[in-house]
Amino acid sequence: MAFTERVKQRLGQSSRNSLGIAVGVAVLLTAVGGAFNRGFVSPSNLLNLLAISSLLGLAAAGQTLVVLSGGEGIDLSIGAVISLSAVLTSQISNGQNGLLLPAVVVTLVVGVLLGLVNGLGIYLAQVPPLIMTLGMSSVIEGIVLVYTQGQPKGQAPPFLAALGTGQVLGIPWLIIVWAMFTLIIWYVLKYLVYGRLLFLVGDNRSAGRMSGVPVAKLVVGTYALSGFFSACTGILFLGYTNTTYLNIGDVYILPSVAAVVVGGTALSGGRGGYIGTVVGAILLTVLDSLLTTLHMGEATRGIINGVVLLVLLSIYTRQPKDA
Amino acid sequence: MLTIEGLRKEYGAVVALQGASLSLVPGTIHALLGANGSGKSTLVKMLGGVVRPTEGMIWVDEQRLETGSPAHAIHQGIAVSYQETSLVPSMSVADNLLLGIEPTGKAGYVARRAIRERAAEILDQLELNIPPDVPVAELPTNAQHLLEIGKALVKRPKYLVLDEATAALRREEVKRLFSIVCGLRDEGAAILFVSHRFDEVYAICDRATVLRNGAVVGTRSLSKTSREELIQDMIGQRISLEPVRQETGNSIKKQSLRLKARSLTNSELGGVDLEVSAGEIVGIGGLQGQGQTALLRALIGAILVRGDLETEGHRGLFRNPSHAAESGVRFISGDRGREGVFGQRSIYENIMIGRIATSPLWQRAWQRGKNRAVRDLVEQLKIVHHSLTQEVRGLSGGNQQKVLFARTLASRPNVVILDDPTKGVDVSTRMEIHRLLRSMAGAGVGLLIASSDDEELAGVCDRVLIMYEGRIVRELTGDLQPSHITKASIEGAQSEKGKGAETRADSL
Amino acid sequence: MRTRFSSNQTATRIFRSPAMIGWVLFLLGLVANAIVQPTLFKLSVINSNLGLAAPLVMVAIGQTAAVLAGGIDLSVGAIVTLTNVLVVSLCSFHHTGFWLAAILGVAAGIAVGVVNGFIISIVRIPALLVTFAMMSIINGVALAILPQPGGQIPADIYQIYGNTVAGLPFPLLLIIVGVLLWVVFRYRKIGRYLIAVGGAAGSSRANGIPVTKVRFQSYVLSAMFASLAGLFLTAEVSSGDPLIGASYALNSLAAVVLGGTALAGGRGSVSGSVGGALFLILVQNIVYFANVPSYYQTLVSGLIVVMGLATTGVLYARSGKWRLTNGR
Ligand SMILES: Nc1ncnc2c1ncn2[C@@H]1O[C@H](COP(=O)(O)OP(=O)(O)OP(=O)(O)O)[C@@H](O)[C@H]1O
Ligand SMILES: [Mg+2]
Repeated sequence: MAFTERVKQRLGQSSRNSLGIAVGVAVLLTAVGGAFNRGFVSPSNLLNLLAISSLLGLAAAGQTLVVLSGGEGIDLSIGAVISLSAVLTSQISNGQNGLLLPAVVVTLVVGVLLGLVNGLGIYLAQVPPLIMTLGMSSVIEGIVLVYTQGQPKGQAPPFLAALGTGQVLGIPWLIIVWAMFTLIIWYVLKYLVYGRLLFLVGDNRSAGRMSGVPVAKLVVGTYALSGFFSACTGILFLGYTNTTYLNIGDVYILPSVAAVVVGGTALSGGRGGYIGTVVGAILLTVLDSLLTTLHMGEATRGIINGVVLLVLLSIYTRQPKDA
Repeated sequence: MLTIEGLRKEYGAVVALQGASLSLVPGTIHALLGANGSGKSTLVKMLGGVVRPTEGMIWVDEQRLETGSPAHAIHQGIAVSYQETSLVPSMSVADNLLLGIEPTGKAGYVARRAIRERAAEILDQLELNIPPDVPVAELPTNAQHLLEIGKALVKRPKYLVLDEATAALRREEVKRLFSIVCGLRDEGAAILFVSHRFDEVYAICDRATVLRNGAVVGTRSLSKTSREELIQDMIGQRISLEPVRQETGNSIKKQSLRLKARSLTNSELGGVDLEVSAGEIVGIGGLQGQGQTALLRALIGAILVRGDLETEGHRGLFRNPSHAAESGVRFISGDRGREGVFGQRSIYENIMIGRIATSPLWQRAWQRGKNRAVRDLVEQLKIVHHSLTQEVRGLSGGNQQKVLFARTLASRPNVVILDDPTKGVDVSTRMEIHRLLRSMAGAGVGLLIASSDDEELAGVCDRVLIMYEGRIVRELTGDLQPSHITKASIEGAQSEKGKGAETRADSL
Repeated sequence: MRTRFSSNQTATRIFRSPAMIGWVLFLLGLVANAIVQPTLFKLSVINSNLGLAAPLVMVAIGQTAAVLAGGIDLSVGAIVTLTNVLVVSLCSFHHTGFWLAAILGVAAGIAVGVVNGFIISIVRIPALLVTFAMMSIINGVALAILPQPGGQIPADIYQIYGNTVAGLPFPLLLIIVGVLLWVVFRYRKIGRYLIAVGGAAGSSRANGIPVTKVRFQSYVLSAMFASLAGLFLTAEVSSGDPLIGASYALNSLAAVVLGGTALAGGRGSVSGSVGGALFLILVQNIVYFANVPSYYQTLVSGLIVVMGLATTGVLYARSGKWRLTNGR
């Protein structure tokens, strides 16, 4: 077992490879931002960027699991669930600390239930995930409209607002919360039965079924988890912005998929991990912030965002040639 | 004449084929032999243009073949029946048969009637009783392989390549294929025939080229070569070809019942009763497609069925394969790629899943000592690998099959149900697998094996049940001979057909 | 001894064909709509409904081409927008004749398809990601061309679109032309090869099918239909809007799936997608005319669509036993 062979094997593991690239690109973008504007690389701005990334990162956590679970898994309903969660927490708690706990519990339960509906539609009724979660998005948007009558009320209780915008020892709470989530997800994926089976089932669902894995439980559960993470994101988002309006979550739908892919998780499932997504979320946030710093108009931002994404993707999602 | 010169193929660090040369002479049938992973399919794929060689070239009638272009190969009269088939499951039988060579009418529209007619013609030649507009995905595997062959034949090739085309076929189908192939040969075509079955090779081939580890060992005239010599060329040592059954005998038989099924019934099964005891290997034979696959799947709850089931500590039908696994009933599918291995995951994980598949999801998966256990299994089964973290898709077919066995052993099963466990597996690996099955039985596991190969059933089973139209019509015990099983399969069919039914035994 | 195979009847095969689901949904929708809106079958109402439906039908046809070939095209909505803003701004701000503007608008849309096809089939990057990025780029371009809604097209064009020709609603003729255009492709080799490549790319390659070319063509086709849709939509609304196409990407996908086409590729039909698209338009109608309170409309139409999808899924699973054993 020669050393060179091991190196080759390492490089062959494309997920690690692309993780390196993603880190490199994120650092490069930050450096570019610093070159244009010193303030961009100041510690406080960097921490702020991380804090913003944490929301995308959390939204993309469920997305990572769903994509890993295979079967063309994708969750486009996370945007709607985030919106609904922010609205629910804000209206139920009505800005009072005392009502925060019931608000959070209700929100999390609703998030999980909506995820369950997704999972059941996908697994039992065999609706393709893309379309199922999309259809659910419009249902959930409808629920938000009905619930708020078009005008979300209430605001974040002080405790939640502190969590969303406050700091401890100069580090935003959001970053700390995200770090905890990251640690847990990493551990679950690496060491628990759920995580290991998720990769295997994501690679080959039929083989998983035939070798005795409770695939239904696993897959449906994964969509429920995605609902859970979206609900968490919505709650924290409310803390971050203090008030909420309709469809705040929509901005996360496609970036969450992009973060997963940029982080080296294969859209076909079974390969990747959450650490990559964390880097992907940071990268996308830095890119967006950089374009804003450069005072680009909306049109130019859209174009550049798309081009950069295309270039990034062409670096590491290139499919092997068939021959 | 088709000549291959110094073909070489590298996949990253793996050298699949290192400079192979051979030539196909019109009017002859040429065998290509070698153990699993020796590079036969790689060579075949390069002939068909599916894989581009790293080095080397192919000449067709003094003309150089443009490599890596299937269209060009077809144009030069090379038609290939691929081991993994090259069918489009969602398309109909007729459309598949003429895929890529559709006749077009005026204005460039595809002539659909002509396609149906040509398809019907070739289906007739293969004596396949399939409506031409059924999607291929709905056909049983052997019919799919026959179609794959038909797809090659429809091109009226000058060079026909058959890569393990017979592996999924039953005896009578193989006979039919041979008469067609010999007809082609007599018309002046050259045929390259890849197979692990020596009797087939000796039956129709003139010469044989043997590959070992991607290199050509030599080309021999078959009339002057014995099986032993060929095997020695293939694996570089002598092995015994004695069946393994005698090793254990019937001493443990009827110890305790491991699995008992009563009147299993669904659209494909007509009330099957079945018992498997500890330490016993029960075979399921019969003509192809008589419900064998459905029976195995019904037992583990993979398809809907009515009836009753009893295993140790459990009574009632299983809801799904996971439910069956919880009671120690494990299944090894005959469809290795689709329902067996996790190609992109490591050998370690592929084996370990046997342990953790039914554990609570929130438990820790990897525990101390399990590592050791996996390593032992890999050694015990002699799985050829370079690292436990290697992706399984990089292993040869035979070794992938062994990984499945290792997974099943790791799960400490009570009952193991196997569908065609040695399909496409080379002679020596096959012997190893048979020995393994016997030793599993020796350890008290009850085994149920369906196989398309009567020789295998005779060699490894204690009892063989013959199925016909979803029912068990015969039970063979005692001294099992392949010919008895074949005969019983046909007789079972005839006696069930009743008096007035025509018999087709003459075609055999 | 012949190899036996129990044959299915052709009749049940047609009845079980996935496209049926799209049309059954459409018929159900039609009945429901007729109940809540008694004037549904008046010519003027049919005309205006079809005017709304024609763009979605066109996009859905193009999307079906991409999906059948095993891909997906999220950029169709952006292409609709691009054609719209281009045609309108050429007409009203650059004094270009409508027909020249129309040709340029469609050409621009097709150019986007060419770029999509190139990146997906030759550079080999997953279609979902490419067309998603392209969506962002083209929306940006559209915004640069026409930052605010506005402008207009010649009134006679607008009138033709809303009118009848030989007693038939003009949009209906356009839909028929669209379907015929598809038929031209479907029954040539390219149509077959789309399905073959989507069903099994490796097998297709082994049979000498030019997989790269077929994939490329599928995105050009998709873009072509999308830009025609953009043109129709422009005739329908008669002015420009840089956000006008936003809903088409996802609605066209919903139409495709409701019409029984497998998102994984290789199985399905355009006729199903047309049924699916018409169903989606009808749902909007039904919710509107059934006097559903305005805040409930999104929810109700969303629920109807999800239930339609679930029904499609369940029936689809039943339509071939192999789907069941292919095991999810
Ligand atoms: N796509 C691939 N990537 C990496 N290695 C490969 C690939 N295809 C084949 N190999 C390797 O090349 C070698 C030869 O494989 P090949 O399929 O030609 O064997 P074979 O002789 O046909 O075996 P079998 O009898 O099992 O069909 C094997 O070691 C296999 O692992
Ligand atoms: Mg082979």
